[in-house]
Amino acid sequence: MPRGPSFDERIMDLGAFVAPPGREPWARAMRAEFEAIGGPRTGWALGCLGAAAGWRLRVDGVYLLMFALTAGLAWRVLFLPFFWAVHLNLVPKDLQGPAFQYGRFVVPAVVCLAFAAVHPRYWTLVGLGFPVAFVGLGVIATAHEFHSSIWDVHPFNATLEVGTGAQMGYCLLGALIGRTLGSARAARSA
Amino acid sequence: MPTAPRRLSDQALSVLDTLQGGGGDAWLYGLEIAAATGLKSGSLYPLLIRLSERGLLESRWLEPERPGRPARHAYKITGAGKAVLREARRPDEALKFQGAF
Repeated sequence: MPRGPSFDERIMDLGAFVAPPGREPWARAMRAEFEAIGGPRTGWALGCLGAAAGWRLRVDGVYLLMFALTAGLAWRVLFLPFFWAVHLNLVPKDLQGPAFQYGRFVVPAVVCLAFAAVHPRYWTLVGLGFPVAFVGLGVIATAHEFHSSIWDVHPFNATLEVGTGAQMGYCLLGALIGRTLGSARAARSA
Repeated sequence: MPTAPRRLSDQALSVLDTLQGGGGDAWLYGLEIAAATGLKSGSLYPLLIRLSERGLLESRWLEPERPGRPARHAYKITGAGKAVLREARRPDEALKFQGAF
Protein backbone atom coordinates (compact mmCIF):
# COMPACT_ATOMS: atom_id res chain seq x y z
CA MET A 1 0.00 0.00 0.00
CA PRO A 2 1.51 3.38 -0.95
CA ARG A 3 2.56 5.43 2.04
CA GLY A 4 1.54 9.09 2.33
CA PRO A 5 4.03 11.80 3.22
CA SER A 6 5.25 11.66 6.80
CA PHE A 7 4.92 14.52 9.26
CA ASP A 8 8.55 15.53 8.62
CA GLU A 9 8.00 15.50 4.88
CA ARG A 10 4.93 17.66 5.25
CA ILE A 11 6.98 20.20 7.20
CA MET A 12 9.59 20.21 4.43
CA ASP A 13 6.85 20.64 1.82
CA LEU A 14 5.51 23.59 3.78
CA GLY A 15 9.01 25.08 3.94
CA ALA A 16 9.37 24.78 0.16
CA PHE A 17 5.96 26.40 -0.23
CA VAL A 18 6.80 29.29 2.09
CA ALA A 19 10.27 30.00 0.62
CA PRO A 20 10.28 32.93 -1.84
CA PRO A 21 11.10 32.14 -5.50
CA GLY A 22 14.62 33.61 -5.21
CA ARG A 23 15.50 31.07 -2.50
CA GLU A 24 14.17 28.03 -4.35
CA PRO A 25 17.64 26.46 -4.91
CA TRP A 26 18.37 26.78 -1.20
CA ALA A 27 15.06 25.18 -0.33
CA ARG A 28 16.01 22.30 -2.64
CA ALA A 29 19.43 22.11 -0.97
CA MET A 30 17.82 21.78 2.45
CA ARG A 31 15.45 19.16 1.09
CA ALA A 32 18.31 17.10 -0.37
CA GLU A 33 20.06 17.04 3.03
CA PHE A 34 16.77 16.12 4.67
CA GLU A 35 16.51 13.14 2.31
CA ALA A 36 20.06 12.12 3.25
CA ILE A 37 19.40 12.00 7.01
CA GLY A 38 19.22 8.48 8.35
CA GLY A 39 17.80 9.14 11.81
CA PRO A 40 15.18 11.51 13.26
CA ARG A 41 14.52 14.42 10.94
CA THR A 42 11.90 16.55 12.66
CA GLY A 43 14.43 19.02 14.09
CA TRP A 44 16.05 19.51 10.70
CA ALA A 45 12.66 19.95 9.02
CA LEU A 46 11.49 22.52 11.58
CA GLY A 47 14.74 24.46 11.21
CA CYS A 48 14.28 24.52 7.44
CA LEU A 49 10.73 25.77 7.84
CA GLY A 50 11.96 28.52 10.16
CA ALA A 51 14.67 29.54 7.68
CA ALA A 52 12.17 29.60 4.80
CA ALA A 53 9.73 31.68 6.86
CA GLY A 54 12.54 34.12 7.62
CA TRP A 55 13.37 34.48 3.92
CA ARG A 56 9.71 35.03 3.11
CA LEU A 57 9.36 37.69 5.79
CA ARG A 58 12.43 39.48 4.46
CA VAL A 59 10.85 39.60 1.03
CA ASP A 60 7.22 40.28 1.91
CA GLY A 61 7.30 41.16 5.61
CA VAL A 62 6.77 44.91 5.26
CA TYR A 63 4.00 44.38 2.75
CA LEU A 64 2.24 41.83 4.96
CA LEU A 65 2.69 43.96 8.06
CA MET A 66 1.20 46.98 6.30
CA PHE A 67 -1.68 44.83 5.08
CA ALA A 68 -2.34 43.42 8.54
CA LEU A 69 -2.30 46.86 10.16
CA THR A 70 -4.42 48.48 7.44
CA ALA A 71 -6.87 45.63 7.39
CA GLY A 72 -6.99 45.51 11.18
CA LEU A 73 -7.75 49.22 11.27
CA ALA A 74 -10.34 48.88 8.49
CA TRP A 75 -11.96 46.07 10.41
CA ARG A 76 -12.22 48.26 13.48
CA VAL A 77 -13.84 51.01 11.41
CA LEU A 78 -16.20 48.57 9.70
CA PHE A 79 -17.15 47.18 13.06
CA LEU A 80 -18.15 50.56 14.52
CA PRO A 81 -21.54 50.88 12.74
CA PHE A 82 -22.57 47.49 14.11
CA PHE A 83 -21.39 48.42 17.56
CA TRP A 84 -23.20 51.76 17.64
CA ALA A 85 -26.33 50.34 16.00
CA VAL A 86 -26.58 47.89 18.88
CA HIS A 87 -25.40 50.31 21.52
CA LEU A 88 -27.93 53.02 20.54
CA ASN A 89 -30.76 50.50 20.16
CA LEU A 90 -31.17 51.30 16.45
CA VAL A 91 -31.56 47.61 15.78
CA PRO A 92 -34.56 45.63 17.09
CA LYS A 93 -33.66 43.74 20.23
CA ASP A 94 -33.98 40.31 18.67
CA LEU A 95 -31.58 41.30 15.88
CA GLN A 96 -28.97 42.92 18.09
CA GLY A 97 -27.14 39.69 18.79
CA PRO A 98 -26.88 38.64 15.12
CA ALA A 99 -25.91 42.21 14.08
CA PHE A 100 -23.15 42.28 16.65
CA GLN A 101 -21.88 38.85 15.66
CA TYR A 102 -22.08 39.79 11.99
CA GLY A 103 -19.82 42.76 12.60
CA ARG A 104 -17.45 40.82 14.75
CA PHE A 105 -17.09 37.61 12.76
CA VAL A 106 -18.54 37.75 9.25
CA VAL A 107 -17.08 41.08 8.07
CA PRO A 108 -13.47 40.12 8.87
CA ALA A 109 -13.98 36.68 7.35
CA VAL A 110 -15.16 38.33 4.12
CA VAL A 111 -12.14 40.65 4.14
CA CYS A 112 -9.84 37.63 4.54
CA LEU A 113 -11.70 35.81 1.80
CA ALA A 114 -11.27 38.74 -0.60
CA PHE A 115 -7.57 39.14 0.13
CA ALA A 116 -6.82 35.42 -0.11
CA ALA A 117 -8.71 35.25 -3.40
CA VAL A 118 -6.32 37.86 -4.79
CA HIS A 119 -3.22 36.41 -3.09
CA PRO A 120 -3.95 32.68 -2.60
CA ARG A 121 -0.35 32.00 -1.53
CA TYR A 122 -0.76 34.12 1.59
CA TRP A 123 -3.98 32.63 2.85
CA THR A 124 -2.57 31.30 6.13
CA LEU A 125 -0.68 34.50 6.85
CA VAL A 126 -3.80 36.52 6.14
CA GLY A 127 -6.07 34.23 8.11
CA LEU A 128 -3.80 34.44 11.14
CA GLY A 129 -2.20 37.86 10.78
CA PHE A 130 -5.45 39.70 10.28
CA PRO A 131 -7.15 38.70 13.56
CA VAL A 132 -3.88 39.14 15.44
CA ALA A 133 -3.66 42.69 14.08
CA PHE A 134 -7.28 43.31 15.01
CA VAL A 135 -6.86 42.03 18.53
CA GLY A 136 -3.55 43.91 18.82
CA LEU A 137 -5.19 47.18 17.82
CA GLY A 138 -8.01 46.46 20.23
CA VAL A 139 -5.54 45.91 23.04
CA ILE A 140 -3.84 49.21 22.23
CA ALA A 141 -7.18 51.03 22.05
CA THR A 142 -8.29 49.68 25.41
CA ALA A 143 -4.91 49.44 27.05
CA HIS A 144 -6.11 50.83 30.37
CA GLU A 145 -8.88 48.22 30.69
CA PHE A 146 -6.74 45.44 29.32
CA HIS A 147 -3.99 46.15 31.77
CA SER A 148 -6.31 45.78 34.72
CA SER A 149 -8.12 42.71 33.36
CA ILE A 150 -5.22 40.77 31.87
CA TRP A 151 -4.32 39.34 35.27
CA ASP A 152 -7.92 38.28 35.85
CA VAL A 153 -7.93 35.39 33.37
CA HIS A 154 -9.12 32.08 34.75
CA PRO A 155 -10.70 28.96 33.23
CA PHE A 156 -14.26 29.93 34.14
CA ASN A 157 -14.03 33.35 32.52
CA ALA A 158 -12.65 32.59 29.10
CA THR A 159 -14.83 34.96 27.06
CA LEU A 160 -11.87 36.86 25.64
CA GLU A 161 -10.06 33.69 24.63
CA VAL A 162 -13.16 32.06 23.14
CA GLY A 163 -14.08 35.20 21.21
CA THR A 164 -10.55 35.62 19.87
CA GLY A 165 -10.39 31.96 18.92
CA ALA A 166 -13.71 32.24 17.10
CA GLN A 167 -12.49 35.32 15.22
CA MET A 168 -9.39 33.45 14.13
CA GLY A 169 -11.51 30.50 13.07
CA TYR A 170 -13.76 32.69 10.94
CA CYS A 171 -10.77 34.47 9.41
CA LEU A 172 -9.00 31.21 8.60
CA LEU A 173 -12.18 29.80 7.09
CA GLY A 174 -12.64 32.94 4.98
CA ALA A 175 -9.00 32.84 3.88
CA LEU A 176 -9.31 29.15 2.99
CA ILE A 177 -12.37 29.77 0.83
CA GLY A 178 -10.60 32.75 -0.73
CA ARG A 179 -7.56 30.65 -1.53
CA THR A 180 -9.75 28.02 -3.17
CA LEU A 181 -11.49 30.66 -5.28
CA GLY A 182 -8.21 32.38 -6.15
CA SER A 183 -6.48 29.12 -7.11
CA ALA A 184 -9.44 28.10 -9.27
CA ARG A 185 -9.36 31.48 -11.00
CA ALA A 186 -5.60 31.17 -11.62
CA ALA A 187 -6.08 27.64 -13.01
CA ARG A 188 -8.79 28.86 -15.39
CA SER A 189 -6.68 31.71 -16.70
CA ALA A 190 -3.55 29.54 -17.11
CA MET B 1 28.95 41.66 -6.85
CA PRO B 2 30.04 39.88 -3.70
CA THR B 3 31.55 42.06 -1.04
CA ALA B 4 33.86 40.99 1.76
CA PRO B 5 32.28 41.27 5.19
CA ARG B 6 33.82 43.57 7.73
CA ARG B 7 32.74 41.47 10.66
CA LEU B 8 31.76 37.87 10.90
CA SER B 9 29.92 36.20 13.76
CA ASP B 10 31.47 33.33 15.65
CA GLN B 11 29.04 31.02 13.87
CA ALA B 12 30.10 32.28 10.45
CA LEU B 13 33.73 31.84 11.40
CA SER B 14 33.07 28.30 12.59
CA VAL B 15 31.47 27.48 9.22
CA LEU B 16 34.49 28.88 7.39
CA ASP B 17 36.76 27.02 9.80
CA THR B 18 34.98 23.77 9.00
CA LEU B 19 35.25 24.37 5.26
CA GLN B 20 38.90 25.28 5.68
CA GLY B 21 39.60 22.03 7.50
CA GLY B 22 41.33 19.54 5.24
CA GLY B 23 43.10 22.23 3.25
CA GLY B 24 39.98 24.01 2.06
CA ASP B 25 39.70 22.06 -1.17
CA ALA B 26 37.03 19.65 -0.04
CA TRP B 27 33.37 20.04 -0.86
CA LEU B 28 31.20 19.58 2.23
CA TYR B 29 27.47 18.97 2.47
CA GLY B 30 25.15 20.95 4.70
CA LEU B 31 24.74 18.00 7.05
CA GLU B 32 28.49 17.67 7.47
CA ILE B 33 28.86 21.36 8.24
CA ALA B 34 25.95 21.18 10.68
CA ALA B 35 27.54 18.19 12.44
CA ALA B 36 30.94 19.86 12.66
CA THR B 37 29.69 23.24 13.86
CA GLY B 38 26.71 22.17 15.92
CA LEU B 39 24.50 24.60 13.99
CA LYS B 40 20.85 23.73 13.35
CA SER B 41 19.43 23.90 9.85
CA GLY B 42 17.49 27.06 10.71
CA SER B 43 20.73 28.91 11.48
CA LEU B 44 23.02 27.17 9.04
CA TYR B 45 21.30 27.91 5.74
CA PRO B 46 20.76 31.64 6.25
CA LEU B 47 24.44 31.75 7.19
CA LEU B 48 25.50 29.79 4.10
CA ILE B 49 23.49 32.16 1.91
CA ARG B 50 25.12 35.19 3.48
CA LEU B 51 28.61 33.76 3.12
CA SER B 52 27.87 32.76 -0.46
CA GLU B 53 26.52 36.21 -1.34
CA ARG B 54 29.67 37.75 0.11
CA GLY B 55 31.82 35.49 -2.02
CA LEU B 56 33.36 33.69 0.95
CA LEU B 57 32.19 30.26 -0.15
CA GLU B 58 31.10 28.66 -3.38
CA SER B 59 28.47 26.01 -3.90
CA ARG B 60 27.63 23.38 -6.46
CA TRP B 61 25.28 20.46 -6.94
CA LEU B 62 26.96 17.07 -6.63
CA GLU B 63 25.55 13.89 -8.08
CA PRO B 64 23.91 11.61 -5.50
CA GLU B 65 26.03 8.88 -3.97
CA ARG B 66 23.15 6.42 -4.19
CA PRO B 67 20.76 6.12 -7.14
CA GLY B 68 17.28 7.45 -6.55
CA ARG B 69 18.48 10.15 -4.17
CA PRO B 70 18.40 13.84 -5.10
CA ALA B 71 21.58 15.72 -6.01
CA ARG B 72 23.11 17.42 -2.99
CA HIS B 73 24.32 20.97 -2.56
CA ALA B 74 27.97 21.13 -1.45
CA TYR B 75 30.10 24.03 -0.28
CA LYS B 76 33.76 25.00 -0.46
CA ILE B 77 35.61 27.98 0.95
CA THR B 78 36.91 30.51 -1.59
CA GLY B 79 40.19 32.38 -1.61
CA ALA B 80 38.40 35.44 -0.24
CA GLY B 81 36.93 33.26 2.51
CA LYS B 82 40.36 31.95 3.44
CA ALA B 83 41.73 35.49 3.56
CA VAL B 84 38.89 36.69 5.79
CA LEU B 85 39.34 33.69 8.05
CA ARG B 86 43.08 34.25 8.25
CA GLU B 87 42.50 37.87 9.11
CA ALA B 88 39.90 37.04 11.74
CA ARG B 89 42.16 34.48 13.38
CA ARG B 90 45.09 36.87 13.76
CA PRO B 91 45.55 37.35 17.51
CA ASP B 92 45.31 41.16 17.36
CA GLU B 93 42.27 41.02 15.05
CA ALA B 94 40.34 38.36 16.90
CA LEU B 95 38.60 40.88 19.13
CA LYS B 96 37.44 42.96 16.14
CA PHE B 97 35.75 40.00 14.54
CA GLN B 98 33.93 38.82 17.62
CA GLY B 99 30.22 39.52 17.89
CA ALA B 100 27.40 39.14 15.44
CA PHE B 101 27.31 41.02 12.15
